[in-house]
Amino acid sequence: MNTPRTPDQDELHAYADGQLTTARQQEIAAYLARQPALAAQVEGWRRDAQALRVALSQPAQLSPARFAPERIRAGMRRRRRRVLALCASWLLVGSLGLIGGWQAQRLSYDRSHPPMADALVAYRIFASDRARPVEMDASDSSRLQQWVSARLGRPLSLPDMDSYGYRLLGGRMLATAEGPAALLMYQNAQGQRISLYVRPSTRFEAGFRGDRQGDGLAASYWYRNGYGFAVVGRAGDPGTVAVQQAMPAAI
Amino acid sequence: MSHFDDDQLREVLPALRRFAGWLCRDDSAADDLLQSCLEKALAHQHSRRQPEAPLKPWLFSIMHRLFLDGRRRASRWQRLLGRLADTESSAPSAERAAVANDALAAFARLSPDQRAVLLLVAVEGMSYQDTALALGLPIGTVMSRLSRARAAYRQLTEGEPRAVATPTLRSVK
Repeated sequence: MNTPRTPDQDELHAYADGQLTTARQQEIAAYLARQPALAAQVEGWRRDAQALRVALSQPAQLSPARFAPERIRAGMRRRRRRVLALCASWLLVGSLGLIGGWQAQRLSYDRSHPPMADALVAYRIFASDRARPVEMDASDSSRLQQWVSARLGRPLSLPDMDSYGYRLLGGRMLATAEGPAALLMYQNAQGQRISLYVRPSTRFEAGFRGDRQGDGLAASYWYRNGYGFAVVGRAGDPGTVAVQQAMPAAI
Repeated sequence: MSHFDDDQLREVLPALRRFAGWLCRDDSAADDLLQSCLEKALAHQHSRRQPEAPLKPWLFSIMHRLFLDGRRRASRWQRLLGRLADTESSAPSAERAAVANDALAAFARLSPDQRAVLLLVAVEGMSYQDTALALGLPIGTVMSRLSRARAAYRQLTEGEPRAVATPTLRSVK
């Protein structure tokens, strides 16, 4: 039979708190019976713990309803929803601003850059040139067509507008920011002129079409297969509208 | 799957609230602490790292960590403010309007660290192991704090330190 170990300070605390095995609790109880001063100390700890337990577990300490798990969970959900709503509204504001800005930019670009504006410029320069409106005349139409098609990079037929009273004078090539542009010039018996202007463009989808008037000119334009087309004539000329309508089908 | 349910949580609630109260020494701060502790616990209800670990020390450890974080933040602010103006280093915590009796009065005068250990061990009846877990301390530190806390509490309730011959030798295991 071995004599029980003398308990250290930690073990005395554990004894006071009842955290030892039953056998060890008994051993220490027996030991303390022989050590009245120590026993008094340990008893004091126990009394203190008891006093604190009584003092601290008053009914006032009972939890109010706001700490019930359901309530906490509901509050968390509510807050999460609020945060989500806030995020969503910021996102909405941001995207509206983005879309609006993009639209506005596009609108202002469109306004300052109307479609096929260079066709009108070209008409203004060359249609008024009585002596030499074209580089190559239409006397050899197959050579003219080959030359224009080769320079343009796309086969281009020379639409016949004779039935509208407009005869093909010839054509010329121009350089633009988008690439080569072909200009075909037509003229009727009264000397009124209409131009067909063709150059590469990816600005609008195929099928986009429109017309506009300004500074005495009337232009109709359309886009197809990566090219932009424009027919320009004087706004007052009776043949202009007819040729403009006939041209898309004739090409 | 849920490893603890609302009923289990409700059971621990009074103890948690008590802990919060004695950590903060201010009712509204304690309520805030309890609120964030419960939120954190519920947020992790289904994803505890050790689902088998006992619930109570886990909850206490969440609360204690939140409390320490809050105190760190507060002291950072204090330092920041201190640099701007020479404010008093720490406002005296609002004492409870009426301290129920001597036991509470003495308990209130312990250091926060000592209060926490004594509360968990003596009042909540938690094991030393669980207390160490809840406070994030090694068990040896828990024991020495407990020892100091009890001595200090004795001294406060009796007005004078008691000279008791405690064995200074530690048993060699």
